[in-house]
Amino acid sequence: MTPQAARIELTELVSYLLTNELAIVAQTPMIVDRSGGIREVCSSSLKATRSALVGASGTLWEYRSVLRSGDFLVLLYEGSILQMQYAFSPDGALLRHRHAFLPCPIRFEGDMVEEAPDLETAIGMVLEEFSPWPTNFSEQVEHTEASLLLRGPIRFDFDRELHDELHSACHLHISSESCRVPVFGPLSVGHFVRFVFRHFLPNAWSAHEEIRSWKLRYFDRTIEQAETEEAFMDSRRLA
Amino acid sequence: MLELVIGSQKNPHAKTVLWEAFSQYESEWTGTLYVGYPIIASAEGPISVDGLLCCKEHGLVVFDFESFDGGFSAVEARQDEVHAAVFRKLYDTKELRRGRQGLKIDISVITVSPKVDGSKRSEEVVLANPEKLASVVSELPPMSQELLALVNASIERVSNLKPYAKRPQVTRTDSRGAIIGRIEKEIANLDSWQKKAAIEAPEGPQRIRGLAGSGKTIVLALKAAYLHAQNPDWDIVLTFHTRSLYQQLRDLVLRFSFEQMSDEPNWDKLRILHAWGSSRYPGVYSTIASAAGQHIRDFDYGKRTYGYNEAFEGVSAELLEGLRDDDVPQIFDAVLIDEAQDLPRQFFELAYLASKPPHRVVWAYDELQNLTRHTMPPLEELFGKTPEDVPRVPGLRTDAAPKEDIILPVCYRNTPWALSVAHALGFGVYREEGLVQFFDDPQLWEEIGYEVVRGKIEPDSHVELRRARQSYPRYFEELLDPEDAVATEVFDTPNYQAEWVAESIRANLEEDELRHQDILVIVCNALRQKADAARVMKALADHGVSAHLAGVTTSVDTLYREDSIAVSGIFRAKGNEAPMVYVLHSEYGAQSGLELIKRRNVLFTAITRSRAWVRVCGVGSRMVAVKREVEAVVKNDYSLSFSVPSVEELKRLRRIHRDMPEAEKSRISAAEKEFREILSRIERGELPPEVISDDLLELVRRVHD
Repeated sequence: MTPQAARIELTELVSYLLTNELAIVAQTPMIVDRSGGIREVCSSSLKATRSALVGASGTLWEYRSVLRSGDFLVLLYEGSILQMQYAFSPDGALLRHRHAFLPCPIRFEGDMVEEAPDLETAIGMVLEEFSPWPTNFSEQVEHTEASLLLRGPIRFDFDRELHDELHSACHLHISSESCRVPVFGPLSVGHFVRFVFRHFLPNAWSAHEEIRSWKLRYFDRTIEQAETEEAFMDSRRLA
Repeated sequence: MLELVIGSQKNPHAKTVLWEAFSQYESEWTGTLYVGYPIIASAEGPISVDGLLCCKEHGLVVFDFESFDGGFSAVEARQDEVHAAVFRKLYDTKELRRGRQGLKIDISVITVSPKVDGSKRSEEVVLANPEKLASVVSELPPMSQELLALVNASIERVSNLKPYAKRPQVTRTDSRGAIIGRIEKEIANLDSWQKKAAIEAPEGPQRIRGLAGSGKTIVLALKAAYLHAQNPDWDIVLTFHTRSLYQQLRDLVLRFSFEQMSDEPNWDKLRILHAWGSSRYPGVYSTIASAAGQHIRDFDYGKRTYGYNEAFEGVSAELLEGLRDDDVPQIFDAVLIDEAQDLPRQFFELAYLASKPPHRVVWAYDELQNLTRHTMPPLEELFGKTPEDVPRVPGLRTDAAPKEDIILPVCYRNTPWALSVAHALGFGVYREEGLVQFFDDPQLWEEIGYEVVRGKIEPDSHVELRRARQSYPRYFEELLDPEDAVATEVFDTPNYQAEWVAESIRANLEEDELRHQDILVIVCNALRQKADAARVMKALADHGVSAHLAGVTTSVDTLYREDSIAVSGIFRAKGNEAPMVYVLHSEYGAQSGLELIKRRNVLFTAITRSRAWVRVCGVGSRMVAVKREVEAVVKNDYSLSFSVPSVEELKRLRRIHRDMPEAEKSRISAAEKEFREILSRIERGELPPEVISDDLLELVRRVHD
């Protein structure tokens, strides 16, 4: 996979999701040249991207921060966020990726969504409750009509160069930074998209054949023998 | 002509004295007489000038109304101070300097006091009794027209507004990037309408109106800073509706305060508050409620009790009901209200009651938020009635000095050609089937900058209207070409449209020296917004250009990005502008059927997002109709020529094209669908034509005619 190919595939994904009303806010990715000849396929040319799970555990503020920055591939129809980016070394080989799914922490009760013009505004309204303007973060949680869910973000990280006892070259964070489930190797777009939709968005999964059949690509496996003794995440091409 | 600009008067009788002395020369002299302006920063604090006359016939004269007890040295010291302040201000203008030590003009300073016997002079110190003032000034030498203009500009000079964007990528002088750069530089200077509107301070209510893009927010911010500098112990509040406006207002007030006081304002005395507020963050409503010892209601309560759209209205009304007139604490010396068209009437009543007499309430609004409805209640109702049922503010005097009713006539945001086309399309002026909507009050046309070229704006009369010369800044004509400013494109398919737009944008970025954030793509049909957006975003990606479909949850600031093209629906695009705007699927506006007014309004809003160039694009035969309408505007030299509808006509228009409640829309849609289904089946041969009874056919024929 080249940077171009990654970009094209991610653009296809954005296009599909938008056209089928699965996404309500979107950003087509761009290729950005970083230092050391590294090329990134990502949503923003800014150096620091807001990612999920930066702190010890996913918080509402993090969700809101990512939402406000617009630094994501898509905001899905029910409020969850998908972030996807790839990085390639100068020789064109896949170097890193960071794919995150931030579930929407808000479930709307009854008339709230009807009253607001649309879902996004409703999300905005609820978030306003937690950050009354002019932008002072407040730890207090106000009473609202919506329920706050305890659903953690997940993130698949791959870094060919970062590899030690704590980190497998490719690992999965679930809900917290300290959780690093070893993963067989770098994930293609197909792997990530199918994973998210199958396990977290079942209705959309059954309604969209294109997603269920999104092409899976297999890169070189990076998982080590020792890492396979305990529970880990695997994927193998069927014969 | 001698123009009179009356600001906030520290010395109330200064105005009377100066007016009595100089109004007789109103038609003879050429220049301006300022009262209570300017305020000049100095090391010891702001120096407020009581009066300043600047005219061709007698040069520059500063008036100081000090009490005089016979001691010259005190007067001399004071005059030196005032002279130095004005000197410094003028010295900032390069063209006024003579060499390094001086100015090209002399500044005369006259201390005015009734205790002076006639007039006295001791070297440079001049004093005069009010009655002798005119004759003393009449002896002063004239100055040239050229110097007059420079001095006026210098006196009225306010620091430039938002530092205009640096455009390092601009290398040519004639590229679009260069042109928009020059336009931005011009806009950065306030014009004299805006400055005067900011300075004029009546002792009572004042209304400021203008088209969107005429600079009302800036005027209010400048007025707030000026009033505060002039009256530091006043409790002034500057309020607004859209939360994101806060930062912009704060930045402006800060900048203007520095210009006048070399210091930040005292934020305890000059407050910038959202209209509503909450128990944690003060707003005007919550401050009044709190001061009155009443319960402060929040948005949650308002929404639950009165509904999403009427929340603030309900809550304000509730507060008013709980209080009698004299229970409302009078806590403000001046209340300045921006975005007045978005605030409920009850809020104005609260603001009025909470302000001390003479009730200095200034409100600014856009004349044309919505093409059909006059959103502001009439003046006699706006501030409510006294317990004796008398309107609190029955009217505003049009000939008052200082002015109570101000119109800002110049629109900076849109080119006159884009506005003409937007109005023509919005109203359906050149639509084959006739007008779609019209102003309730035909006189509104002139108020929003049109002049009558031919005919009259009267029901059943024919009239031709054009943008008045004074309604747009000169630089539009100098820098832009009308045919390039507004262009229409028809495409056979959505893909061709997307492809053309993507290629045009690529050229904008690579050849025209425009930046990503200078471009906005608007998709008109809300129902198909995402699919339409996806198509153009993909086409852009194919050309190597990244794009984003913006959402409403992100703050207003982030609609534009440095590295990505903003694509937006009409709702999100409101309140934003861009130098280059592409409007996609404009045929949506020509689709006959339900809610034509709403569709036409979308076209109007989309086109008026453009600051320099707009490309009105669309697909299919309906787009051909739109293009024809635009061509009619161009053929008429950008004027609107039509028959003013009669009162009956107006009612009919409103009835047939109005916004409809959802339930009715669904019923009509369903019925239409069924009818269409029957006709299709007949066409396909599944049903015999006779299923439609003769009298039904007859009805259809009659209706069609």
